[in-house]
Amino acid sequence: MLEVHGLKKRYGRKKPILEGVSFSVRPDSITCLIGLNGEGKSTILKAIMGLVPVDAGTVLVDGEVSREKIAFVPDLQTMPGYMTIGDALLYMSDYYPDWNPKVAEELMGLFKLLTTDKILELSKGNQAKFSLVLGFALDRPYLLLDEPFAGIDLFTKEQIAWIFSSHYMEGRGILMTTHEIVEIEHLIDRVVFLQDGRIIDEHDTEEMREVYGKSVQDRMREVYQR
Amino acid sequence: MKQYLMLTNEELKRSWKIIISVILAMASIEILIIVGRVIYHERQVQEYMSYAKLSETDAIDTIGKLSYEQASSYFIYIILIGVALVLLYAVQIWYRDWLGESKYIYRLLLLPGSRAKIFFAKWTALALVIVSFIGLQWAVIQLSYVIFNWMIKDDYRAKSSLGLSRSLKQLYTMNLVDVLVIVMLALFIVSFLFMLVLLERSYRKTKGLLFVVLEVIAIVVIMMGGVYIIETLDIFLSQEISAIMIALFVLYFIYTIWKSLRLLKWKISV
Repeated sequence: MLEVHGLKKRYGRKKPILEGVSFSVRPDSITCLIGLNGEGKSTILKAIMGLVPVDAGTVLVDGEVSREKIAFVPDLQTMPGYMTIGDALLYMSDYYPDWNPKVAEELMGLFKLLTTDKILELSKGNQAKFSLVLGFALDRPYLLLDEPFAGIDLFTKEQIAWIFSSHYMEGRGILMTTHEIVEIEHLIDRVVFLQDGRIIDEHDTEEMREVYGKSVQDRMREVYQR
Repeated sequence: MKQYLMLTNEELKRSWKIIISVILAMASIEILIIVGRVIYHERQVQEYMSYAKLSETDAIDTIGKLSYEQASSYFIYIILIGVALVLLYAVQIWYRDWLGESKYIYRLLLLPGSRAKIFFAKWTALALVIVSFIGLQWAVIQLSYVIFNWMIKDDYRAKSSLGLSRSLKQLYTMNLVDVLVIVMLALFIVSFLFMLVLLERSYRKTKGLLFVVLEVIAIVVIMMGGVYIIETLDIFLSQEISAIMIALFVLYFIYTIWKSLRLLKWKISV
């Protein structure tokens, strides 16, 4: 279980962006962090990975303070600009002992990515696909995805959504932020609604449909428009 | 250790084209200066000969002979530009990871193991660039001296060994201890700049700049204060003063590295 306890974060003298956020991500499930722009969704993911320091709070992975069981796919390119896809794959296998070249190769084939292509010359959709390859090919039980569907076409969205229902997901706990809930609503196990730096609602999607009789998107509208 | 070496290689790989270009440009300019000075001097003598209707010997007596020291007097400006570029590289080597086309800093900070290897990889890359820069400059000075002697007519040349101007002599000393002091000083400046960059990247905006200014003030106060106290007390022998200054330098050097590693571990932000 990935557990987030009491995360607090304030940038300068501004209003705190996170005011004691706590939630958990179960293995073998997809949890979706939902919130309007600027509500701190990406900050939570970065804080979990130690990429922004927090004012308070802890992150436990299976009861331990360790980030090496989590893979992170941010919504931007993280490999040096001069690299080709082949260079980047070699880089990952050099630096990460838990890199799985077989999964990388399979996903590269699925997404029709070429090792000779320069990463920064890829289209936005292919960059997103390649980022997912880098995340999924790490043999780690938890995966954080920041806006994996942002700015990409429908077919790419469908391909990515397919991965979430494939064997690549087995045993993994996924935490993702997204605004584009429609395409993956049927795959999500749990939703966490964020507003003004706090969790204002949190449900298993099945339970939510039973209790409220509404889809995640309907519930989202209700929460943020009240 | 393996990751540290690979990261160092990565840092150099990302900049080698620009580093080599700068070094080659500097070397070419310096050699062109020597060639230009010799040609210019020769032309001056020839023109003066035809203008004043003098013999070559009399014209040289009037205009003067050219020494290597005179011909290489502009080298110091090229070297100062080189030093400025190295300092710029010390800042750029960090900022490019945040501000470049890709955000490589995410990848670096997420690498397995300690983040100290990121610091030491960049530091080592700078150290290698500095040592190469000093070494290649030394080689260029030797080469330009050979070219100078080869080009200039014996009658036009002021006799000298590898006569460098006073400012160049301070930089290109043949004493090993002095060379080590220069390299250590350069690495200290690099460590100090790294600490300032990491402070700014950790606290950002006003708070970041405030910490940067405070650190700069602190080092000035420590160094000036140390010198002032030593001179005021007037109880130390010159060897003791050297020992105190070296101790202060080493302590501050360790502090900059310690502080940088702490920032990288606890405070840095993408």
